[in-house]
Amino acid sequence: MTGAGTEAGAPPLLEVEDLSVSFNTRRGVVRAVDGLSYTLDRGEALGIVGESGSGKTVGSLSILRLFGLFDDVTVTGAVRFEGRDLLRLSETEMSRVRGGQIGMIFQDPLTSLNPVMPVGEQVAESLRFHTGASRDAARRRTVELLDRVGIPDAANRYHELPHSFSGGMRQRVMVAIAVACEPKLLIADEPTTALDVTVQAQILLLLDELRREMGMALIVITHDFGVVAATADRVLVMYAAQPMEHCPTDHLFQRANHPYTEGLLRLVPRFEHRAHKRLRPIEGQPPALTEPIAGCPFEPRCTHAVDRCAAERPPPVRLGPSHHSACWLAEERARRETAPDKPWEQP
Amino acid sequence: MATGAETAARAEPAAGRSRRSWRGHGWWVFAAFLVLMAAWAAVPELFMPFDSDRLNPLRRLLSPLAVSDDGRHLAGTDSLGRDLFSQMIRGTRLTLYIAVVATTIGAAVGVLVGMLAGYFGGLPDRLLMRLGEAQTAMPMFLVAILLLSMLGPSVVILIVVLPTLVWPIFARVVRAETLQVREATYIEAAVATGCTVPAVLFTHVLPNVVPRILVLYVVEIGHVMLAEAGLSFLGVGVQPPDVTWGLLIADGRPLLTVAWWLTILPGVLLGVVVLSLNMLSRRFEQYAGAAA
Amino acid sequence: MPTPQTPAAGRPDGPAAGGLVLLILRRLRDGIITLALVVAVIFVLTNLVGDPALVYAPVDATDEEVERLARAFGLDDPFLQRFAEYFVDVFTGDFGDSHWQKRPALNAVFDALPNTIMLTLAGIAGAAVFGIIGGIMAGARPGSVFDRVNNLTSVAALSVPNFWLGLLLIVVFSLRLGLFPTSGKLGWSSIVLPAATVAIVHGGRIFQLVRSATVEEMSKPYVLVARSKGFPRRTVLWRHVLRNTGLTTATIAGWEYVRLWGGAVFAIEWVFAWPGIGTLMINAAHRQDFFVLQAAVIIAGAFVVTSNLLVDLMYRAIDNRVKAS
Repeated sequence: MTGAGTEAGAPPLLEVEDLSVSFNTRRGVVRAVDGLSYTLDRGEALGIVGESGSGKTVGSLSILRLFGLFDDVTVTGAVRFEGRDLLRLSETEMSRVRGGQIGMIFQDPLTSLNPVMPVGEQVAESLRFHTGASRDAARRRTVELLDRVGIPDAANRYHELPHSFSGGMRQRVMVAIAVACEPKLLIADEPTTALDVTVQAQILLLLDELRREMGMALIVITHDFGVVAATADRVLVMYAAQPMEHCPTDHLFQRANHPYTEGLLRLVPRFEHRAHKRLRPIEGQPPALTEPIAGCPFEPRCTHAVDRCAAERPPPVRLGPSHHSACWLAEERARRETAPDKPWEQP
Repeated sequence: MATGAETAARAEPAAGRSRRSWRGHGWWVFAAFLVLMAAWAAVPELFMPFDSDRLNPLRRLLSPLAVSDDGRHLAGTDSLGRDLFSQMIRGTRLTLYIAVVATTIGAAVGVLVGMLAGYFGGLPDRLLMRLGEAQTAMPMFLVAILLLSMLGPSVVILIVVLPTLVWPIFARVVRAETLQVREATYIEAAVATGCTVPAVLFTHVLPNVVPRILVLYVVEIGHVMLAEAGLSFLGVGVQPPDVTWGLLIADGRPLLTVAWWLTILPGVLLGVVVLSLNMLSRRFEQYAGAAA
Repeated sequence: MPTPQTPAAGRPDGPAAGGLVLLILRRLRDGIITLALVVAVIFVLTNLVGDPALVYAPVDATDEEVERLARAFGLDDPFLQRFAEYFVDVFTGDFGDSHWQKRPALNAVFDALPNTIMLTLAGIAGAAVFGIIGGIMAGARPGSVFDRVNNLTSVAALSVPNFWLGLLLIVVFSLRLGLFPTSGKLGWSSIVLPAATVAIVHGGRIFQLVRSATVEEMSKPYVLVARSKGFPRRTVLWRHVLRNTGLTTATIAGWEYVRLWGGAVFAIEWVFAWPGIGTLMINAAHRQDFFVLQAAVIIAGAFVVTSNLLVDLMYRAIDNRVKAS
């Protein structure tokens, strides 16, 4: 496991503590993130997995304190980056962090680039803003970066507008923008969802290489366990704005504990599946986030639920080094003889 | 995008909620005001504090809120001693009547043209839409002045001329909607089961466009009201002894230096009515948007 | 939903140079058809609604004068022949003589036209400055106090009659404060109040359109990306958003200018006795001078059709440059 090398006493790179984010909308208060906590060490990679609406994207955008134009947001908790609480920085201090210390890659490369600005300039402007590099220096560095992320003929394509680039190429440009200032943390929000399958693998490989080269920590947000397996050391599973399970990636496939995680894993198609075995979706719908939830949010859909689940919210239960599961049955399930090494074949 | 302190402040829910609720229910004020206007138009006698036509040389050009032997004049009096507030109430009926009737005719023509053009396409579509386009590219207000002075200004002619200003707007919206609906499978099904063209248009196409037409209709009543006021102000619209708000503004204009209220107050009333219509249509738009 | 806001929208015109020439020709043809339509309506109305000689004659004309007029028109000729002759006259610039001004109607119109153009340009300039700057600032922070105040102000400005707004400005700035003349055209200060009236009304519309264009653009993902690079909101607005909304904004102002000719300005001219087309027309209407009236409508129409074409071409020219670069 990475992160073990951190000397004792120094704070971890990122420490999210009891982060809650709610939006005040016309239809009431929506709790988008509810009690999210995790830590991330230097150079470590964390995958955050969940369905759309599970709060995984908002949780990560609130690290950078980026919300939409109309959002009336309430944020509580703490997001400590190298010991400083980002939620309490001034807007000026925050702007040094964004792009400089924390880079971000977004889901849709087709709309993430400014359509009327040459792509090279979109990389260079970040360099100039954060490093104060001269126009020429920024341009040289940009060409290097574009070359590194795999844009062929980078020097000449510097001046082209985004529409002459394919989706995969645009996502490479986005990667170049995000890592331009060699940030200590890179957040990638569904970096491959909008891309072709072959391109997906290339981008994931690129992210992994860059992370090792630059010694960045990585948070990858996805709904795809394949992406997690390819990039992350640890996984955090979210459901209905709350963290469900947090474990090392190899545990996930061997020793997943939470019933929700188990349900998700059953949905991953496998070659082992025999023709008559069908994917079994989880019955029911995620709860509305406008209503307060007393117990475990997954309780209504959970086949293992007991009375307590609806009444009281389960705290994260420690099952081993960096393995937590927010389930009243966590310990019981961990003791089971038949460890679900193939959870998709569980009854 | 809040620092910690701001975050804490925003956690206070009451402030946010009260602001939202005002935004949500403000339209009641405007609706109530329009109901009052409708009442003024229906039974002006109930509301007029004075006989709007009675001349009284002893109370000429009293400023607003002044008191004469007859009582308090909320909006002052004109050069012949008539009570302005009573005259404004009296003018409501004709002002609203012209605006509503003209807009209704314009909307009906526009909806019909739009549906026919959208449904049949081809040559009729191009001709009708070209006509509408041609009109929007013309100084229509000038054309209206020309027509009115040619045909002789009167309420009837106004009601004939004013719809020409608004029908293309309705036609464009309805046509676009009809084009979409025409492609829908249930229209094909209706035609296949033997529905006639009018039946399809009125039972299937029309209900789809009603919300958007309603929004437009409310706004355009306001626009027609402003156009009528403009034409009457210029002397080619409503003629005395009829009274509309636009005509009151025109009447007061020569006395602008000595009695500002005669021009300004009828304009305020007209402005508030049009503003109310605009606000209500925004509200309708939200509903129509939410329903869609 | 394809709702063509502008006559240009929704037509497949190629960006190539050949396409541009074709476009100009087609739009010119459309413009001429439009004008012809108006001329035809005027002719048909004057001839159907009664004795055209009576319509065209001055109010105080004697029976003999009316008869002489009727002969001059050739009113005994067949309808279609007169229709054709009328068209030829109009398109060769013969609009008849004004019995009020005792000179060709066209001359009276050409004396007034520059004044109207001056007023509309001054007005739209003011409207564009306030509307665009205000619209961008409000759109960048929707829901802010600045946004709410300006939004309400612009709706109010669009709800009151424009000529009344002119009268209000006279009361406040001429009568109370004595800053500007109430009417006429005597030196630069005369244009201030009428132009301000135009600017307030149309600035309100430009404000609303620019505001919503800005809000829409600010909600696009690339804005979030630019923010994630660390740029403050203001920098993102200037460096990124305005590059994208610039074209739309220019077009909004252009179309608003064309729209201005659709009505607002003429009543405002009358309020300030500004010697433009509007004032000319109202005076002519009160004197039953139909030669001047129809000349004014047709010339103003020709001007609007031309400006329409110019705005359209300007839009395309900028658009092509953006696409080509």
